[in-house]
Amino acid sequence: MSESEPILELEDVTIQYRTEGGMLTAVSDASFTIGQGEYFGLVGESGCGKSTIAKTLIGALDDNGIIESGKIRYKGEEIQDYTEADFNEELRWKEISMIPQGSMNNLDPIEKISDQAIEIAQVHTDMTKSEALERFEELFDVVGIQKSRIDDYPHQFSGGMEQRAIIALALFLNPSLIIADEPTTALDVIMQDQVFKYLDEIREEGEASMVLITHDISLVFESCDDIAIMHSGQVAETGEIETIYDNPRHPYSFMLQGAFPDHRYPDRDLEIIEGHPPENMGEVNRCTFVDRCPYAVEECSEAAPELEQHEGSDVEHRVACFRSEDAHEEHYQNKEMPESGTAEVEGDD
Amino acid sequence: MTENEPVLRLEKLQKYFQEESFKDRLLGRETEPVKAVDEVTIDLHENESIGVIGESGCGKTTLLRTLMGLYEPTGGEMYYNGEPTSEFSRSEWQEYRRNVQIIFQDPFNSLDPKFTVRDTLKEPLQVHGLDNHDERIHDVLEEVQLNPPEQYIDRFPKQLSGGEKQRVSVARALILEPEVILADEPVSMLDVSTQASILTLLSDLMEERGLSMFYISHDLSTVSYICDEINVMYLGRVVERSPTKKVLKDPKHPYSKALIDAIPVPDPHYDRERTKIEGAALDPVDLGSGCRFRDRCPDRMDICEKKPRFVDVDGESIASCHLYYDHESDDTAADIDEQRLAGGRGSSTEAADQVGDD
Repeated sequence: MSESEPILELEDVTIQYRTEGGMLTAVSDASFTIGQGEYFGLVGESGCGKSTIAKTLIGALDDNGIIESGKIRYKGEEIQDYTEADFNEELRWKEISMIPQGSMNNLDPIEKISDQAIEIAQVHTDMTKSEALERFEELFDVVGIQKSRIDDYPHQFSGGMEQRAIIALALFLNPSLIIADEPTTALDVIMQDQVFKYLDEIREEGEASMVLITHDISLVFESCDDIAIMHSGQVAETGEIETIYDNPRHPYSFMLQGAFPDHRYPDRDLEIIEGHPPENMGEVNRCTFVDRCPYAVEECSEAAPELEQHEGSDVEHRVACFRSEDAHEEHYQNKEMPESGTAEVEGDD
Repeated sequence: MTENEPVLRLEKLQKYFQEESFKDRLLGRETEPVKAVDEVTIDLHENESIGVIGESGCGKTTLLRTLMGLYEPTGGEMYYNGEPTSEFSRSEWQEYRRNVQIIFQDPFNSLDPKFTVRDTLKEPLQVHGLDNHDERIHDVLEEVQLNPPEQYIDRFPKQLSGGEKQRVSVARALILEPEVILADEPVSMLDVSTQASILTLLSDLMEERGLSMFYISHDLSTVSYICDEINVMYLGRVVERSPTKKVLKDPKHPYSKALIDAIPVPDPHYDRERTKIEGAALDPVDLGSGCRFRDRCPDRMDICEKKPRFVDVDGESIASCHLYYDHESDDTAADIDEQRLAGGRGSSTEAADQVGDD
């Protein structure tokens, strides 16, 4: 948001996994930029590569995964070639921390939460035990858990509280970037909202940036500044959330928005995106959405579209689609004539 | 509809779990039961689709398992076409299980990985001694739009996408030509792009086959595509019953309100306030007789220590909440007619003594 140096930049990053059938491309030429203090939403269906990016950013890519090409810059410094030791000494917890999927088993069940915090502090900083505890108590306050409960064991917490304790750990060493991978997916809707209330407060303070990785586009629209929509390893579209909401230019973006239920409009037809994302073996030299895209032409299977600035936008708004203009026009024309919608659902009546 | 006998009728259905350790028994200690389902009354009529909504721990899965006959109710009664299931013989249970089929939540784990689609669909036919296997399998695959069936019939689950797997689950439920489908969050594990197609399939099938459906979910934003009416459950009790669109627009019970207000809205221009509800739901153990939501309720009053009655709030919504009736006449006023409580909201004769708050 500020003009200063971005906190994180991905430039044409390709990540592959070695599999029995050859090299599987999980992320293909992905680029996006996250500013200082910004909340950035990374959205897509399962298999789109969003979790691979999360793992890469904290240096926890699976053993068979490699960053094949591209640059990842954290505060201007290239980190794509960092070793495990580099990550541990330089980045983890104090610079980049992670909130993993809220599935109740991210904390050590036989260790007090305070002991887990002390361990992190001792490995990564020279804080004393009492300084660490004091800091951790403060953070419990921030995430709305009583300070007295830092000596509890994880099982003494409800799912929402446990996830908030993990947020407290993620904030513990004042990182500049937090990677939140589906932080509330396993939580009920009221607890999810409670967790986001605290994430909002952290955002207000503006000290940490966040990558919010989720399949739930509504969470991103509510809580983030910018967004990147991914399909099967490629970034389809990226920009400010208002821009992407008001003026989506990639067919996958506007179809995904149309597929998303909104409880304010229970009668609205939900859009169906036919097919499923492909598995990309080897180099990806086509648009990965081509088989599902109603607007695809031959060109789309012949080369991968570049992520380029959308000419009609005066803010940063990049789209990777050869048919962006025509598709957008066709799609919204159909919207005005509801009868012609072939791929649409009739809700209940 | 109200004149017809319901296909399924739950009357004050109760399922308590008595957790008693060996030590408790040795010391002769009485333990409090977990009241997972506590006096739930719901009617399901022919070709009707009723939703049960609630968060984890509200008892919706226990309710579903009781409906499947996996749990024996500890109180109340369940009627299938007017016959109490507690008096069912073995053959009647088999008949019941043929007519009441389930679609599970997780298509990734509810199909046998070593069964082809054909094996999966053949098994129920063999169990229930039906013939014409090939024809039935072919037809049902067409019906769930796995076309052409020949292309899918010999595949294993790992060769199917999530949406295709869920279609096989739907086919497995349909192949015995049931009257009632129990659907346990059938779309919650699917990607949003396939979610809509399964929802459409289910609502089309209901229409074509005249099926009745019990739809269980935690997700209020998709229920409107399937359910005519929903029951909001909290800690084992139904707290509100309303037509789906009504409850989304105008929830009456404070818990329903909290639940709906917490749903994220996919619109950056819409300024939704974060939830004001604190804490998490308790375990349904030893909570006394009062309203189960009272410890978190923003509208809490002293009277909430007493069990709230079901009242017809506005001719459409029925809520179990002290906000909606006049306690002066509490002792004399009759509880809302059980028949109407169970489902059919026809003419309103008893709404006279109720006070709405808005």
